[in-house]
Order: sequence, then structure tokens, then C-alpha cells
Amino acid sequence: MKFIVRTSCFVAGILTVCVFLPVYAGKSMVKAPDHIAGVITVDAEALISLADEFENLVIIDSRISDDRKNGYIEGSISLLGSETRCQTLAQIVPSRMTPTVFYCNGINCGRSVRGAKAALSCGYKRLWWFRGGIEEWKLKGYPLVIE
Amino acid sequence: MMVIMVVGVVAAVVEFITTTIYQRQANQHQLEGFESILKIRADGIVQELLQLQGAQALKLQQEKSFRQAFTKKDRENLHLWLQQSFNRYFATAHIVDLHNIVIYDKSLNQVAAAEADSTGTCSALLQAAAVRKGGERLKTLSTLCRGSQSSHFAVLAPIGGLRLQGYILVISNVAYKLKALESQLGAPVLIETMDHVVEYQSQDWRNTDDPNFLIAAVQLNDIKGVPVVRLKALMDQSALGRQLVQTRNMILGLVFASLILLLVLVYFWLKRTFQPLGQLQIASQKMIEGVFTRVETGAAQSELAMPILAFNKMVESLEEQTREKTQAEQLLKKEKEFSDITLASIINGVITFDAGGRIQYMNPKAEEIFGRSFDELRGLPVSRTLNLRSNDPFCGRPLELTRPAEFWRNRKMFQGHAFLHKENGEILELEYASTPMHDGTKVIGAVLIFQDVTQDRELRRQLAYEASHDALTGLVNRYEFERQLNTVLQGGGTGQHVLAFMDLDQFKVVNDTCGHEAGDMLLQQLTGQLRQSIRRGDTLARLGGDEFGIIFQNCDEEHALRIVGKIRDMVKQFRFVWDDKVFSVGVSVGLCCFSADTLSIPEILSQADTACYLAKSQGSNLIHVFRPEADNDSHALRGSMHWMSRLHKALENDRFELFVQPIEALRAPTIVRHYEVLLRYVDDDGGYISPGLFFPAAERYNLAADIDRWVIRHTLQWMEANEQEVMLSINLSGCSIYDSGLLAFIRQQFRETGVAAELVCFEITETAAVANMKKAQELISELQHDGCKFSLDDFGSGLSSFFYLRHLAVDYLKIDGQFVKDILSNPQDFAMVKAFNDVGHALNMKTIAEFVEHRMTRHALNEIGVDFAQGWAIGKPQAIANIGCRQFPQRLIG
Repeated sequence: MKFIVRTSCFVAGILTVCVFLPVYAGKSMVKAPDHIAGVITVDAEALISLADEFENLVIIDSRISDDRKNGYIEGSISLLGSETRCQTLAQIVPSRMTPTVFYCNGINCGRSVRGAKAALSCGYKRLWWFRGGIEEWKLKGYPLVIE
Repeated sequence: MMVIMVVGVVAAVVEFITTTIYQRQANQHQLEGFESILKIRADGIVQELLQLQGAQALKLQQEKSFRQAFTKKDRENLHLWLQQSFNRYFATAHIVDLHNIVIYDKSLNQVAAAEADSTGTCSALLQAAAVRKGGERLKTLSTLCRGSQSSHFAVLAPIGGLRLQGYILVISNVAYKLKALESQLGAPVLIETMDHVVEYQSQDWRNTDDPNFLIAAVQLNDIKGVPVVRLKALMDQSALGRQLVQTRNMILGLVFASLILLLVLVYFWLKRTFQPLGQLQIASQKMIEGVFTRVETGAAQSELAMPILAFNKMVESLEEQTREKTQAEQLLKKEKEFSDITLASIINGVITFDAGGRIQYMNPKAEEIFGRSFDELRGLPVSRTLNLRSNDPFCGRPLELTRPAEFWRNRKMFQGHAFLHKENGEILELEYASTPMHDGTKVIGAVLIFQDVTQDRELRRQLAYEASHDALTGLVNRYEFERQLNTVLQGGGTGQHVLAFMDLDQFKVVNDTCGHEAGDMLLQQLTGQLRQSIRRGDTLARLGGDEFGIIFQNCDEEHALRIVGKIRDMVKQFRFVWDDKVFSVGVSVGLCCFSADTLSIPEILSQADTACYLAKSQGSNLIHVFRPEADNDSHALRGSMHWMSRLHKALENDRFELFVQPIEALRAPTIVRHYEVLLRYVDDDGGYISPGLFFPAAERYNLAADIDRWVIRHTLQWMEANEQEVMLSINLSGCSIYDSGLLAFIRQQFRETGVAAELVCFEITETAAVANMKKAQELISELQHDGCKFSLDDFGSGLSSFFYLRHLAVDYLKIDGQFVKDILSNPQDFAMVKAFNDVGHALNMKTIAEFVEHRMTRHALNEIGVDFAQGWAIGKPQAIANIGCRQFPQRLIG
């Protein structure tokens, strides 16, 4: 009986996934690209290594403030992707040679991409893009700062 | 029924067992489920603790005072700060039961702790944290760990969100949080360490073996998988157990109720359905006992009705067969009885034996013949048991009765006669026939049928003897005599043989005077004498009354004559004494010489007969040898065979002619002339033949009486036609006296012709009259009554006795010519004639003398006083037509 119920649930689940997958796929049209030309893509572990390597590493949180309230990576500075311009960047990043990392919510978030591209266009040389963002960070169990 | 019961019980038992197993399984499942729930709930609580303690750790490190103290490595402030926050949380939250808070630097060296004495706790967690590298170190680690008094949950969180600065370890008392399971599960719980140190126990907790209570137990492990704490929950299953038991009992009850109902139904159904089967059984039993019963199909369904109908058919068929069989058996029994009775009652002995020759059956006759019982001989080998010899009682081979199959191939039986040696020494002669019994193809035995022919054979031998021998004398008879003669002729060769015929003279005298007894005695005595006279090997036979015959085999005439002469002399000298009387006889012998190639049997017999006749006719005690050249005529005339046909023709064609011879009255003259009627046979040449030549043949072939009638008829017819006043004497032969119709015939003739009886005289010879005295007396008496006369002919020739004369009331006595013819020369004859004449006259008879051949004789007779004379001297025989003619000397004697 238990088996039947389990099997039924499994089948129902599969069916549900099958039904809703196309909708989900439609939403994921805003999915971030695999990489951004001129920007090095990193994961969470690479980010931690960067932090250890570069004392002056600037971490830019491209998300909106509401998202940031739920927790952010320690030491990150909030700068919305849409507000990332050479001017705003200059206030946060000391020089164009300062290593800088962009992140936002995750792979479905384009803000960090925008931020990174803006920084690239502003002439920043040492740019990294934490593609998995908060999503990956939380998933991997790294601590967040919640105020 | 039994099956159903067994199935029912088994079902009940299975149900019981199944229910029990299911209950156990249900309990097991229940327990497993309960344990799963317990585990999940416990994990949930641990997870909650992780959240709570993790969050607390993060929250603590974000406080400024802590950061300052930590950055400065100000242990005292840190310690102070820790105690403050520990107490704050402990006092206010009560969400967790904090045990300790410890701060470590990056290298996991303790910097500060809320509780001083708790350093070193959860070393497993620290060890696990120490081996991490890189970003991994930023991750929060947690575990259960064993404390000295209780079990703890420790969470190790990093200090610093990106760049690791140290660690903060938050430890809480896990039982404090886990006891919430009691309310979550609604069941009593027990929390204990692995050393069975109870950390928490619900008030209504109890350890029990009651199956109605399940105890679910799970263990929670630390980070290395080592068990740290054990959780137990008590689950009351009594309601479920009761329900299960109730359900089980209900099912069992249903099962039993159904079973009983089914049994009852099945019982009645079977009883109703198989009732005909029971009847079938009864009927079968009855049938075994011989009573044929049919079974009613009744309520039987078609499946059952079919065999019952078939059974009934079988019963009918069997009944029919049995009836037929019984009838057949009765018939068979009857037939067997019949055949048994037949076998038992037939005069033949019957023995059956099998192919091996073992006796299987004997009928009573067989037992009687063999003198042994069937019970004694049953199964014994037939050939050895029955001492039978073929052909000869002593020298014959033992008779082999069992024959091989090849023997029977071409024959249906074999038979013969055999001799049986009985145990008592008796020897029986048996005739037997053996017939094989076949079993389709092969011979399975044989039937031996036999009869005791000992007496039969004896009788046959006796009959054969009697047929070939004369009873009186023991000599061979005429039949055997002729047979032996034939044997002699068959012997062939040129050897001379002689046949002798002997006829006794004067034998009749003895026979007539003293009776047949005397005659028989004489013949026997004489036979004894004759036997001694002949040679060994010669055949002596008695051919007739006083006739004898001898075959002299390989004997010439001279020798035969010598023997016969001796016989004649012997007979001559033979004297026979009877009642003081002495008789002598003579013998006339005729001889015939022959050899095998010269004459046939009839010729030989005929010649000997003729010779004998001639001898006799020439006088007594003579021997005549047949000479063909001399005797052929008379021989031919005497040929009996020859005469028989001639006499028949003569009677049919009147080849006879009547002659008469006158009888002259010597003393008193008579008016009526007297003649004796004589008979002549007219032969083909017209010659006359006198009766002496043919009358013996006529007598032999029973023609004498017919000839007498012929003479009577023609004589009377002649008398009627000629109306001559004559008296005619008619001779009657001896045979005619026996002719019972003769009297009627004579009277009829008289009526038809009208002739006066007084004119007819009948002559009968002395011999014939004496031989048939009574008949003769009757005839004489009757005809004398009618008026006829009678004359006794040839008186003196036969018996020379006056005795009979007194009883024969004849009119005339005719003296035999033998005495008359020599009367002149022979005084004895003269005296005899005179005596006869005197006696005749004394008896009031007229006398007539025959053979008067001389006139002197006539004178002599006249002197003697004889009344009539007859003979050549008186008148020769003439044809009857001459009566009244001139040529015929008619003399009236005056």
C-alpha cells in the first residue's frame, strides 16, 4: 500500500513537473549568460579564494535593497545593476585596477551581469562575476550577513 | 464431506495463523512507521536546534562589543560578553537550554568560553572542522555529542562571512528540546544516553512486554556516526489488537458457520443425489446373490440417470443371458444326463482318454468288462492299464491305443478285435473301435468303444459248426460237403478223387415201426461205424435222412471200391436192437470218379446220385460205379435241374399223357372194368418217359402234388367226356397227402365233371400212408364218405408189417410186385403173398397183385385167392384213349 502510494506520488510529481516545465522555461528567458566577455566568472569557492588573495577586493551586490535585507555576503557593497555607472563605481572602487566582484541573486538574475558589463565599459580591468550569486552561496552553506 | 470438513478446518487454521501473522506484521509495520515518525520528528527537532543555534551564533558575532573584543583578542571581555549573552539567552528565551558558548580563533584554539569547565567538549566536531580547507571552513558544522551528564547538540559557526576569523561554538542540552516529542507524538517518551542514563522520561512511561504496547526506539548519531542518544516512544496498540482479534474471531465464526452450513447442504445434496447410487450398490449386491433388480432413476440427474439406465440395461441383458445360460445349462444337463444314461445303459463299454492316454471316463459297462472301477483307473495310462492283446490272446502284441497325431491324419477311426486278460484269469474277446477327439486342430484324446464278443464269437463258431454239421451225427452236412468238394476241385491238379453216395435200405422200417427216436439212434450208431471205415482225410457227410456221402480225396476207383465194399459189408452185418427187436439195414452205394479238371460239382453230385439210384434200383446192398457211356441217359433224365423246368413246362403245356393198365378181377367177375391210371411224360421226340425217371425230381421240387392234381383233373375230364363205365385208380403221391387243399379240389372236380365217385379209386403207397398216418386216415375217411374207393399201394415193400393195416380202412390192398413176380419160383414170396392176401381178406379188403407177368402167375394167384391181378400178363399200359378200342384187350372176367 505504501509502495503504491509512493509510486502514485512519484508519478504525480513527474506529471506535474512535465506540465509546468514549459512555463518555467519561458520564465528563464532572462537567464544570465554563461560568461561575460572580459569578465572572469567565478563560483563561491573561487570568491572566497579571491577574498583571501586580495585584501582590497571589492564585492558589489547588484541586487535591490529588499533582497539584500534577507542577507548578503560579508563585506559586499550594495550597488544596483541599473545604477552601476562609471561614476557610482568610482565612489566604491578605488581604481580601475582594483579587483572587483559582482553578484546578485543567482543565475536568473541579470543585475550583476549588467553591473559587470558597466564596470567593464568603464574601463575596470580586474573584474569577476560570481554567477551563482546568493543562491549558490546559501545553497553551499556559506554564512550571510543579516542586519 | 470429510474433505469439506478438512478444508474448512484448514481454512480456519490458516485464517487464524494468517491473522496472527498479519497482526504481527501490522504491529511490525506500525512499529516501523512509528519509529520513522519518531526519527523524523527527532531529526526535525535537531534541525530546529541547528537553525536556532546557528542563528544565535551569527547574531552574537555581529554585535559590536564582541567584534571589538574578538578583534583585539580581549579574552576577558570576550568571556564577560559570552557570559552575558549566555545568561541573557538562558534566562529569557528558554527556546533552547544553552549549555555553553565557546569562541575559537581560525586555528580552532579556544579564545573564550561561557562555561569555563566545558572546554574540550564535542571534540569530534572540532576534529571534523579542523580538517576542512578553503571555503569549506566558512560552512556551519553541527553534531550531537556526548556530554558528561547529558547529551548535547553543538553548532560550530564561522566568525566572518567571507574571510574566516574564528569560530563560535554553541552547545545546548538536546534532551530539553527532544522532550517536545512527547506532546508532538502524544505518546510517552524516554530519552537516554547510550549508557542508559535517563535524560528524560514521561510520567506515564513504562517498560512493558505487553504486545498491546509497542516501543519504538531510534538512535541519534554524532558527526562520525557514533550513537549518542537513544529515543524511545511507547505506543498503545491495545485498541488495534482488540480490533484485530475481534475481526479474526468474526471471520473464524463466519468460516465455521459457513462450513457447517456447507456440510449440511452437501450432506443433504449428496444424500439426495447419490441415493440411486446406494440403490445401485444394493442392486449389485443382490445381483451377486443372483437376484436381478432394476434401479429407479428417481430424482437422479441425467449424469446419474445415464449409468443407472445403463445398469438397468446391463441387468436386463444379464438376466436374459442368465436365463438363456440357465436354459442352456439345463438343456446341457439334460443332454449330459441323457448321454450319461445312454453311455451307462448301452451295452458297449466306453472309455475316453486324453492325448497322453490317461483315462478320463469309463462307463459302467466298461467297468464291468474290465472288472475294475473307474475311480481306481482314473488318470492311469490306458495302454498299460488295460491288458489288451491283438489277434491272439497269448502271442498277440499288446494293443497300443494311444496313437500319435500323424496316425489320425488320414483316418477317422481304427478298429479291430483284441483279447483282454482280466485279473481273475478270465480271457475276454473284445471288438473295439477307437475314434479320435479333435479340438479344432489337434487331437486331444480318443474314445474307445468296445464290446465283449466272447459269447458272440462262441455262438458264431457254434452256429458255423451247426451250419456245417449235422446235429444228429456230428458229421458234416450237405452244405459243408459240397463246400469241401469245391475245395477239392479248387485244389486243382490231376489227382483222382472219388465221390460216394450211400442210401440206406430198410431204414424206414426202423423209423416207422419204432419211431424216429430209434431211427436217430440207428443213424448215430451206424455213423460211428462209418467213421472207422474211412481213411483219415476223407470226408464223411450226412446228406439227408438216410443218405450219406464220402469224398475220397486222392483215391483211385479200385481203392474206393475196396473201402466202400468194406462199408457195405459192415452195414450188412450191422444189427440194431430196439425194444427187443433186432433190425438189419442195407446200403446202396453210387460212386463217381473225378479229377479237378474233368467235372463240375453239379455233374459230380448228379453222377453219384444217379449211380446210387441205379444201385438201389438194382437191389439192396449194391455198389454202382457211374460209367458215363452207359449211364448217361438215365443220368440225364434224372438230372434234377433238368427235370424241374421240363416238369413246369409239362404242367403248363399238358406235356403229360394218361396211360391206363387194366386190373383184372380173378375171382368174382365185375361189370365195371378197372384200370390203374398211369402217367407218361411226352418228350420232344414224342417218346414216353415213365414217372420213375422224373417223379423223384418232381417230389424234390414240390411238383408232385401239382402233377397229382393234373392227373385227377384230366382223368375225371376224360371220364366225363367218354362216359365209359370204367373204374379208374388214380395214384396219390406222399406229397399230396400233405396237400390240405386236395380234398376240396377233388370234390370240386367231381362236381364239375359229374363223374360218380364210386368209379374212382385212389391209390396211396404204404410208405406215404404210414408216414402221414393221421392225414392219410382223414383223407381216406372223407373220400370214402363221398363214395370213392381207396387202395394201399406197394404193400409189403416198405414195412412188411400188418400193424398199420388195422388203422387204414382201405378198400383194396395192392401187394407189392417184388413179391409177386417170383411167386412161382420162390416159395417164400408165395407164402408172403398168401399171407398178405389172408390178412387183407381178414380186414375186409380186396387184394390186388402187381407185376403179373406170366399167365402161370395169374393162375397161382387165383389159387391163393387174390381178388385182382395187374401186370403185363393181364394188360400192358396203353394210352387212355384206347379204352373201348378193339386193340385194347378188353376182357370181362366172368
